[in-house]
Amino acid sequence: MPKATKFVAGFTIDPHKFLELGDNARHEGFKDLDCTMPYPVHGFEEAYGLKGSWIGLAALGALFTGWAGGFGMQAWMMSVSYPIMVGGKPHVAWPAFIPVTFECGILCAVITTLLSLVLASNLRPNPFAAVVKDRMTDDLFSIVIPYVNDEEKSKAEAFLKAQNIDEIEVHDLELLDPRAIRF
Amino acid sequence: MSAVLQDSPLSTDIRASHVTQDVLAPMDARPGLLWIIAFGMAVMAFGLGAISVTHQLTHGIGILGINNTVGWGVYITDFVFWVGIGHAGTLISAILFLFRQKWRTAINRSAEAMTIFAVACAGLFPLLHIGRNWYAYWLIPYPNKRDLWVNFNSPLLWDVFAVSTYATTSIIFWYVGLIPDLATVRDRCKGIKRIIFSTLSLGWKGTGKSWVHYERAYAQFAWLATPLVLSVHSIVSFDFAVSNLPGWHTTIFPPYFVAGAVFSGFGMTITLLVVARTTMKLEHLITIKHLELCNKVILATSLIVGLAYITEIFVAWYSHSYYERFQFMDRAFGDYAWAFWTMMFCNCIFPQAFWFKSIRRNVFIMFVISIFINVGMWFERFNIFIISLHADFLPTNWNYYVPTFFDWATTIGSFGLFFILFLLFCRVLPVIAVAEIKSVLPDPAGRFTGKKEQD
Repeated sequence: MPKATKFVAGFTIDPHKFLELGDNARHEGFKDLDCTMPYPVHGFEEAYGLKGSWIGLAALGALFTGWAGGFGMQAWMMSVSYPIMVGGKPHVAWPAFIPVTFECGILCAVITTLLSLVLASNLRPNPFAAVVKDRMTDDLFSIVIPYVNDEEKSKAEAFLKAQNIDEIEVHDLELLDPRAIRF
Repeated sequence: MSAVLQDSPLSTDIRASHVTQDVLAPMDARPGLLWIIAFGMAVMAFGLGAISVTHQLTHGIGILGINNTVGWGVYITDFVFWVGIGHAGTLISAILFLFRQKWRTAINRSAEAMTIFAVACAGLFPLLHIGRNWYAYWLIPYPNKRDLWVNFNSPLLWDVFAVSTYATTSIIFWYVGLIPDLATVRDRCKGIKRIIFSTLSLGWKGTGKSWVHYERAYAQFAWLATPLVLSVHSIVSFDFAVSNLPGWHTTIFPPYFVAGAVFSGFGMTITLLVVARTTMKLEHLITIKHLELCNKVILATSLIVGLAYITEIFVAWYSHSYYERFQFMDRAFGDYAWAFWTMMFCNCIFPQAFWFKSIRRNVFIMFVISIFINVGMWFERFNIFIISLHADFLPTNWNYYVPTFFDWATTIGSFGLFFILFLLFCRVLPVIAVAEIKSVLPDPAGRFTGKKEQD
């Protein structure tokens, strides 16, 4: 099945209504729902059937890698590359390595979290980014129903009309999808 | 659930669009007279510091008050003072986030900005303090022709890693928090301003899928920043606690420094918030309730800090160590007793006024007390470093350390830098986290829609 690149979008400023729309749309059998929010509303993931994020796992991996790398770096520098006796302590004086090891892990995890976010949400410096309606980053919520043919489009429009919401718009451009940002 | 979580500090009349308008209004308006005067004073202070630093770089650190006995003077005091100021920002943005304290949303952005600017000021001092500043990069382990590495057994090096990690994390945390708000600014302005904010907001569109990742990343930063913030000031305290000097060599230092950092950070938060909310007319978003909660944190941490002072004195007496006892007698009744009692009054006595609700809610009095706290916490570091050093084991070495003009000029310059950055921040970026505060707005029925409160 071809990937949908066209959308029917419904707009509301009521966050409760916005959650209801997602629930109703899923129960009506609409797939691959997305939405836009000016601020996150509790329960939107469940309402719109959105999958959880993998960023936590990436950060956890980076945390352990950073710890191992940080400790390994100190042990190698102090005992293999340039062994030097400091204050009569062993070359690998591991308690003294704990602070730097800890900081290395945190630094790796933080940078990995940032890069993962940039990758997952496709964030890029874009001087000409735009949303369909300027209020979408102020107080306007939207439900985004993708369609590939006229039949699906009319079904989505009929559904949104039945929901009694403020505005319905049809878009054939991927403006609502962050992957569609053009450079 | 605490009362804090149940009562919203915000009025039910406020709508999401009002928040956007109110927070972003100062960015469109011309700067007020008060802002211009404050900025002018900050520039002058910074200029004085810049002249002093230039003179130091050309003449060496001999122009400072430090001597053989007191090798760590005002610069190290300033360093620890500024690192401490930075801690409240991370506490508000990360730790209060994890505890689901919704009142943080009104103040977290400015507190995070305060953190970054304070850490920037802090970072300058060790770099200025080292004699040959142009070799500052030797602090970083990098492959070099001498085949040498830095000494990982030294707490001073742990500090390099801790403070640089902290600065990086704070900047990333702050910037990621700003992204949705930068997009909000982008969508309500035109021309060159729109291009700038569009670039800075990294194409943010607020789709559900990106919010899922964003929320995860934000929580992740909070989880990582929480142990980090506790570790940073602990590691700063290791600079002293790991040595054998009476007055420094105590196991209480890490928690004592962390509590002191939170205390001083909240003191500075109150100083800045009172100015920001008054000059930018944000009283309905940064409410008295927010300030009162900050004052409660100040009261609690003041008690912890006071307990730490008394514990130190008790342990010195209980240890039967001659040198420890001398150290604390010298602090209270010696040459620097004026500094010790300034600290005691500013940090332990004056904040007790916050036991009274009417004072916790009085903007003028809290502002005055916050200034006392800033002064008191600066003197706490002065006492720890200078008084512990000035009378060492050989009486022939005893010395009365007096900071020179250049010590003070650079210190004033760092305040100038801090306020320049903060005042510019207030002008060009949203001073309140718009998307976050919207998520804690109650609807007319008093229900919360925001994510962070119902988890």
